[in-house]
Amino acid sequence: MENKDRWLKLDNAGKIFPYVSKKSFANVFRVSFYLKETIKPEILQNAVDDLKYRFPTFFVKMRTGIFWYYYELNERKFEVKKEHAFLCSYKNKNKNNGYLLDIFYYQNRISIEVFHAISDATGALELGKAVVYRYLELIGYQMEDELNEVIKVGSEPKISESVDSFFDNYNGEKLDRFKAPKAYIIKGTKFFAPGNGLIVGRVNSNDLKNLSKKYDCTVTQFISAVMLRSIYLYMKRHQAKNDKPLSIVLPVNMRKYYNSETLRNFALYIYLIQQVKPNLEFNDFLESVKSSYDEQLNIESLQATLNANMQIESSYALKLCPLFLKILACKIGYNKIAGGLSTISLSNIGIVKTPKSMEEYIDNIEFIAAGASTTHSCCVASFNNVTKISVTRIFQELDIEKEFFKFLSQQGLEVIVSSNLWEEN
Amino acid sequence: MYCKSCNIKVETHTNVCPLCKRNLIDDDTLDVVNYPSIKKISNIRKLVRRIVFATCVSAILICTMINLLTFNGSYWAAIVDVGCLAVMIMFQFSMRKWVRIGKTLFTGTISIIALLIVIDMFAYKDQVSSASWSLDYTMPLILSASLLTCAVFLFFGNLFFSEFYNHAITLSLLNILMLIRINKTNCIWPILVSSSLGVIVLMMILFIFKEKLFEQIKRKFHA
Repeated sequence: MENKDRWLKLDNAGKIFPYVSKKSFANVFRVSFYLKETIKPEILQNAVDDLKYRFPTFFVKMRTGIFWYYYELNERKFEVKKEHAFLCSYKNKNKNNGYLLDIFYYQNRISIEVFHAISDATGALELGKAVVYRYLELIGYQMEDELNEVIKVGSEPKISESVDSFFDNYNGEKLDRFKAPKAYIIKGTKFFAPGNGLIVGRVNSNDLKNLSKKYDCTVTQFISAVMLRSIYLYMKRHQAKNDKPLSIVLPVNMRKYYNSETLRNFALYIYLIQQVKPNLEFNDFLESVKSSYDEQLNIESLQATLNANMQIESSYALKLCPLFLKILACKIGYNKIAGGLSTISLSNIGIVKTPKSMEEYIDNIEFIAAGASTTHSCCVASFNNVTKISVTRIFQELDIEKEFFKFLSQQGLEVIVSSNLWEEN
Repeated sequence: MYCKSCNIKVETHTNVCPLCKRNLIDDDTLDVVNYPSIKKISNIRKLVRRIVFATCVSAILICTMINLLTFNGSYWAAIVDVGCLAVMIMFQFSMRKWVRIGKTLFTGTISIIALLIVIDMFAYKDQVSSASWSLDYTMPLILSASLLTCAVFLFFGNLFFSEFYNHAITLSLLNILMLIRINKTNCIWPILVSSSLGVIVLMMILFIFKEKLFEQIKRKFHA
């Protein structure tokens, strides 16, 4: 069957997003590539046009079925746009020619913004690398990719890239899954203009790695502990009455556990939980993070979560429920049942690998998420010995970010901060 | 730029630290990372929509009130009410982009049909007439025009099949349904045109696009 005749069911993780997403809860993330020169929009447009049919799971339109939404290949024109001020804004299926992603350019930056229903960060990163590679090729640079690290124009889309890996790895067993408790929710003053504030901190990757080693933990564990400490200090300073634990929701890329090549969603979540006690020190947060890792980050626990999610989808009651009732139920009940399980989300896509020929034209890579179920989102990406930690927020208060980056600086890291200055709007 | 209080460098075009809001010390060693700032978004479209909405709601309220206060057995305000609702619905859909053209066409047609039925119910209540202009002329011709537009997109725009087939089928059936008026009127040619067009388009969909149609039904049911 030709690509244009194909249709796709939404994957297990992506199914919930169309029901619950709205302007204030967009569930959109962004991967940005900072090149060493100003972007030429017409060449970027050509690069995207060349790749459109190579990524059939991204360039889709969402259609309404009787029981579920589904995707069809979108044949309308896809246009790259100049970046606007609203980070990770809501992707309305009736706008933007029906596309659920945007490719923006701004000065020396190419940004891929993706609605979470179609892919996760790993998938979007593959699309971003392919677009930048093609863009550099069209500019006229000599590009080489001996290790086949980038998807290129001319290659055929693989079936393994468009499978629902949740479905493929569901084994039907009923296992005990970890149930996250309701967590502390950060309160603050909303911005005058709706949107997300952004603070990005840049540190040296090797220095950050060495610092984590000093505390006998991984980089993600270290950043998680610093973030928990920052939230704890914010909570104490604002004298928030709270008996709920602090909780970080951390996506886990399941591809390495199940050897999957899919470009669609394939991530599950673990919760890093810290019970609130008086006078907690940094090492207490680190111990809690490590113990949450030990408890939840193992194949048995992840398989239990995967099975539980698939069992919900496979139930006949849900299968036979008409789409409009599902939408209604999710809009009314989602926040009450599934909301409030985490204080903040944190996602680390790790070290981004590109072919050597690309590295000399890319300055750094940034990963941003906004409009998730939490008030703050922290994302981490490393490239070329530079780690960028971005924190988005929906409040004016910057105390959490301030404590976070100040702590890194106190630990001896050189921190360079940039902001979208949203508070000035 | 450098913030002594936070001990961080700042590479954004600002004189105060983004974190602690204290003044920065000049340090020109860094490039500036920029993010676009908010431009005033033109609210003309929103304003026009609000004016139309307010006018329609006011017209509905005023006419209904006058009708009730001076009630003489005729619900003439129903024509105004449904007319205003039809304007609001069509306005709401026509303000949307090209991506929903099929739905816009279909919703507009249904709104006008609702209006025509109400006009027929109330405007001709006391009159003895064998033909009603709203049901016997306008309705079949509107349905025919709408179906014809849908059919053009369906047959000549391969791109739009999945967005038009369901509207085309529904409109074809509505056109055929016009036959129920054939014994109630002296003027049958608009009804014959409308129902013949309905049958032709429906047959063409079933014969020309048989495979595509079954594929779309399969998708709708997730089979």
